[in-house]
Amino acid sequence: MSRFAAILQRFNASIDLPQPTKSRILLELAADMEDCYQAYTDRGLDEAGADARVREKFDLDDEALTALIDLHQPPMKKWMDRISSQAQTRLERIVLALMLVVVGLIAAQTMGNARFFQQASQFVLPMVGIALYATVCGLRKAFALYVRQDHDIRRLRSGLALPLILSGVNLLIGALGYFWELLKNGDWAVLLASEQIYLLSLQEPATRHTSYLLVEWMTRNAATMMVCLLISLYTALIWVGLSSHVARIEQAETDFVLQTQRSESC
Amino acid sequence: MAGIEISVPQLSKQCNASLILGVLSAGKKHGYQIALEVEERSDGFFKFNHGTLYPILHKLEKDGLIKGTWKQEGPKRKRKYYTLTAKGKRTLSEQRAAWRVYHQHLFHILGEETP
Repeated sequence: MSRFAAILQRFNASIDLPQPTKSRILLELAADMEDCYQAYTDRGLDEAGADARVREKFDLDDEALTALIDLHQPPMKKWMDRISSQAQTRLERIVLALMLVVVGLIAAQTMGNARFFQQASQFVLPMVGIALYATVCGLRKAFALYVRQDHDIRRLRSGLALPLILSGVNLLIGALGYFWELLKNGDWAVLLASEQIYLLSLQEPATRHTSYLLVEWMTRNAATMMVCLLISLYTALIWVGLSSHVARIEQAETDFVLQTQRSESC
Repeated sequence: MAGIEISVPQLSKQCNASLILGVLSAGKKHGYQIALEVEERSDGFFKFNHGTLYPILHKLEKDGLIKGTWKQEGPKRKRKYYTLTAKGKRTLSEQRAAWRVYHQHLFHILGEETP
């Protein structure tokens, strides 16, 4: 067992990385610590003195450990951290990733179908406009944060709530469009009795065609709502991405101020 | 014109990276040897805190400027040796030029001859 087992145990607990990356880092540190210890004893230091010097020299602080973790963290985990700092456990992260992948696949398949848009009502147009506007606003804010590095604390949150507001407005338009279409076509009563109509059409072969018509009618009405939900989710994701980046900048700013105060008071 | 420029906010990081590349240009070394040689060759002027050494070493390795290879030393001991890659050699030569430019500008303002 290494004489530096305790300090290596501390690194082991602090370095949140998958194997074998973590073991390799610890192995490298352990070997260098042994060499350093040997060098000190060769220079005439007693064992306790050499031990203390090595511990002092190799006492990797939180900043160094974080830098190592950042370097070796798998891209998927980095991506998940960016999306949601709230999703802490592996299960939460996997579920969140799966949800995003499923939503992405459904969105790509649905939006890529021209017939789907033909079926949807004209209410889709303002919703697509909202999606485009949210994209432009999101890109503008992302450009300011990532490229121009405008981290002025007074401007940091300006315009950040816009994608979220647009997401809410889009939901309202979608709901309005959905019910408008139902009422316009006078199908409100059909909607309420749709299950019975469907069952009846299955029992009576002569009216089987009714079930196909019913499904088509529901698809037509649902198309508007589907577009609405996907666009709302899209704009909300823009907001999540930007606000978590802003939160990280604010945290870094707070850490810096606290660190400065601490060093001034020392 | 060299492809690398010394940036004042990144001065410490760039200096540490150059020191490591410089030491490795003489041959393969492991982490502790690198820190020791930097200290010895600069007569103690540059002292490597190991807290900063490993993240820089691993970053340089990830960027392909140095290459880490594990070697068995004795029955139970494994060591990681670092060597300079071809990309690392090119970067080192660019960094030499960049540091020269940096010093010229610095001494131009200080009003003395460039050393």
